[in-house]
Amino acid sequence: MPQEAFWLFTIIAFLIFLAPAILTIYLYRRLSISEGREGR
Amino acid sequence: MAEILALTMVLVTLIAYLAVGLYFARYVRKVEEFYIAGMSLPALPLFGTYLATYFSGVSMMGYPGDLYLVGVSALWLPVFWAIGTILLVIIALKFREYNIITPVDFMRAKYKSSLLELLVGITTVIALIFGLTVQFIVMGITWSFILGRPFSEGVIITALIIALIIASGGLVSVAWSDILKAAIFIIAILIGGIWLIASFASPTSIVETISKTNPKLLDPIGGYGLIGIIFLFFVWTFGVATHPQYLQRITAARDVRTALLQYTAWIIIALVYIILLFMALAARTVMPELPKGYTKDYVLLLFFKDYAPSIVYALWAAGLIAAALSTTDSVIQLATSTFNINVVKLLKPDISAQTLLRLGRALAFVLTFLVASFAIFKPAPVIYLAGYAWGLLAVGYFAPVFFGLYWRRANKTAALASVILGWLAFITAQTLAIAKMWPYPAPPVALGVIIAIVTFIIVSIITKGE
Repeated sequence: MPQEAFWLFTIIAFLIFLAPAILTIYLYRRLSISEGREGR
Repeated sequence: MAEILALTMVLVTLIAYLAVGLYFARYVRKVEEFYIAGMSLPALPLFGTYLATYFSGVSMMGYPGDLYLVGVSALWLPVFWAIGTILLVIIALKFREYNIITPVDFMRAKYKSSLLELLVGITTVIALIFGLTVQFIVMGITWSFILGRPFSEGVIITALIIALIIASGGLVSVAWSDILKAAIFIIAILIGGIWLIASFASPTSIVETISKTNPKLLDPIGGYGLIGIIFLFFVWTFGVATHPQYLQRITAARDVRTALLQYTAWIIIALVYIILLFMALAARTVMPELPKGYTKDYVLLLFFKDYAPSIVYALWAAGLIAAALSTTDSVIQLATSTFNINVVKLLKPDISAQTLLRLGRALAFVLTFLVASFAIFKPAPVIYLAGYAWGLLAVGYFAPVFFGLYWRRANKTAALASVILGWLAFITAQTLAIAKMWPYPAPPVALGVIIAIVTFIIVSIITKGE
């Protein structure tokens, strides 16, 4: 039981660590698209 | 043999950082270039300097030490740092709308208040300088533990490298040399991780052993308790979200998209935190107790010394110094900029650009050796004041910056009231806590941040239409 809690927590923590990068990539793409529109 | 290899590795990397710093200093002519890299930093140095500044000696020594002592629940710390970074990404979207050189300039640009600028400016410089002592201590410890040389020698040599890098090319030299520093500590951690899995033990077998010998270490709530974890959230999240060293890197970027790209560093950071988790747990399986005379900070050093090949150990030494050095030079560069732009220039507005530039180079030396002397002589007031550093910044920046960017009602009175009341609450609670007279489980930083946020909201609503 403690082992399962450990692995679950570690995986969730890892996903949270990735969140800033994922949000960044999403915002970057959105900005690129809106800048592209303005360019035209 | 291991000592010679480690000494060579450390010296070669130190010389390399200095060489890169001096090379890029050739491009620095103007005040804006020295203080904020001309607001035109490309993606690569920005990514490198964010990663290198974010990841400090504390992350490579203190965090694994906590993992060793309390187990997996220490993962909450980087979880909250990551959540703070999500807020930072949101701040980065709007922060460049203001034409500023230092993060404190935001207080003047947004709230048109010289008093707020001076208050936050002076407090920022003091907090940054006192908070840095620990990074020099990490460099001194590594120097004396691994190389068997005097602690003060390590501090003075690294201080000289840092002062030369900043004085030669300001943020430009810091950022470009940070690419190399980040590469060194990332390689050290990756090689250490590969050695761990390939030759020591697999993650599953480490967890298996811990579950038999010390299952409490696998509990996610662990020793903190649920209330403790909620308070840790307030301590860490808001401090990371608006720490001036990250705000400075948003302004230094070439444009807003480049500014955003720096946070993709979290793909690497995520991996690093998980590798350090298994390293610290592996150390616990073979070292159930710390050897006499050593604190938790020494855990991985002791582990690599006794179990890993010399090359892994030598790389770890270079990595530790790289992590501590890269945070130190960034913070001293920021303190130099803040003092000259938000204190000197505010009090003497007609100062020439050339004088401001010369003053920046001189102050880099003065501040670096001031902090280095704190690390060597450890004067009691400095060690005592270092406990205030993180809280002063978290309380002073979060509410004015976040609400200033995203809430139309944010105004000067609210910003001043929030900063002053937040600091008063934090300083009172922290002073009582140090005197062991603070009866509540809330960490003083959490109290200060909550009071600053609540004050900001209430005063903004009351003074509507100002």
